[in-house]
Amino acid sequence: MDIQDEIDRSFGAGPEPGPVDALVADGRRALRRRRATTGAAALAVVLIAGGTTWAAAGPGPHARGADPSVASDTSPGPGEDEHPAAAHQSPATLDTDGTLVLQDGVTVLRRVDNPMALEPPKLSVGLVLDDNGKQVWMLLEADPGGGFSILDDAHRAATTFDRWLREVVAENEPGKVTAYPEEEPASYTGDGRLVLRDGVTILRKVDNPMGLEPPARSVGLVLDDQGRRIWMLLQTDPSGSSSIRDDPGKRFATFDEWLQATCADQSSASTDPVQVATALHGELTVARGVEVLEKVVAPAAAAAYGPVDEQVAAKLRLVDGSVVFALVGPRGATTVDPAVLEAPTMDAFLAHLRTQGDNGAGLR
Amino acid sequence: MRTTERDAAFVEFVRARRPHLRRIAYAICGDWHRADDLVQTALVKLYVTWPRVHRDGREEAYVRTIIVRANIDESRRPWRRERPGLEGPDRASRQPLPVEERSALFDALQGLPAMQRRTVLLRHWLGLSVAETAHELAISEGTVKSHSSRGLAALQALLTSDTA
Repeated sequence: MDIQDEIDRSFGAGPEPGPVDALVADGRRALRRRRATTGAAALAVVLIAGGTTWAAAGPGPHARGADPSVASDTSPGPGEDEHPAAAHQSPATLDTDGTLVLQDGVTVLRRVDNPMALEPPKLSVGLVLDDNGKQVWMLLEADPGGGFSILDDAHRAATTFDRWLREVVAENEPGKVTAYPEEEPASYTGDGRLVLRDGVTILRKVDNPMGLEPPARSVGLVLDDQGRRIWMLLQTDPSGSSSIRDDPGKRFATFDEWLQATCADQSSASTDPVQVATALHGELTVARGVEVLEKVVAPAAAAAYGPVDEQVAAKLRLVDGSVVFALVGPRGATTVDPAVLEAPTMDAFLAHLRTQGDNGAGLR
Repeated sequence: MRTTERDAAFVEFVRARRPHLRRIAYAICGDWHRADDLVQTALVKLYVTWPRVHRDGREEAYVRTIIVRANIDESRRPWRRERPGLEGPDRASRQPLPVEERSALFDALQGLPAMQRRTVLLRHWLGLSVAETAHELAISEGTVKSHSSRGLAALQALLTSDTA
């Protein structure tokens, strides 16, 4: 049979669709939410997960988001609400020389270079950012010939970053072969659901092998990816998600052995006293899952251990739930069990620091 | 391009191509209400990116891509999931189909697992190449060939059993 013709004749045109005018009105409203800008700007910003919108391209890569130039075709239609687009600045911008400029308090958790497969001098980058404790996803494009910018509401957190990036790239470069990485066999979505790539099935699932406290969670998986067996460990918490995968039999004979060893490797980064936290110029950074309960920047009591302004005394809750005190410097942390102190308080810890420094015994 | 020009060109495209786009959406999802939702979603996105897509003459391919991917995304949501990840192999949509003008072939098509159905429709109805279908569905070319082969075989079997 001629399958093309057979399929074409196998069903009709259906009921009458709605009026075209309503579609145009919907389009105008969407355009107000995603404001396209053209002109001399060398930047594109596509949003985001997390409930916030940012103003996009200004006249240059360091634009602060006020009054983005709006093309004439983006004027609101009658009765449409003004979008509060200019209320915030973009957490990151991309210069035409490829320089990524981050706002204060923004760090890059993951970077996908040139997901739009643009030819130089055009550039693009996909980003997972920590913006002052909130994770956001961005696609940035730099184009010296006239960039564009798009705003979107944050409604995509129910998907994974890879899927989100694929979608926004496809929307802006439809039909073009893009360079984003292959989706992981299993991933946590922005709102913490476990999703599988098409063709992947779960053969075995071990819930929370890392013993994380909610809202953090973890899962060990034995997967079948179209005939190929894969072992995976995934973890997620409000600051983001990560995963590790391995081929069966490569380093461990059984999945249980692999999972136990991999969980131990992952946990050590959050419980090892040296890796649990670092401080640079008084700025305290802690490992994922570690919570800062209290801190004293530049504690005078730590003078015997190094330059005071490079150190932070901190009370931390580790991933395993235990609470420790720590003297944190550029090379890591030295932790102290509260049980050795007069009392489980910061004052007692500072007194301990002073005493141990004065008598030369130190903390170790 | 000013708003009035955008609107005029957009409306002209919609009037000309919406019937075909609705049929694509319906063939993929098997329900006219959902098909209209998919088409509306895709056309609104098209309106937003109209100057760029229209300039390149890719309007229809753009809308088709959005329809297909929106349908894939829909099928991944728990409340419309067609293939729950924890419960075994690909399964067909459970959405009820309206009684109307359609053939056993269309019913057989709707009886295919979702990805096989999409692959057969893109490859053998819309005439996309293996590479184009792979790109559209975000799967490998090998997977396209596999789905295509299995889908056509299943259609043949379903039609044969129906007429037996």
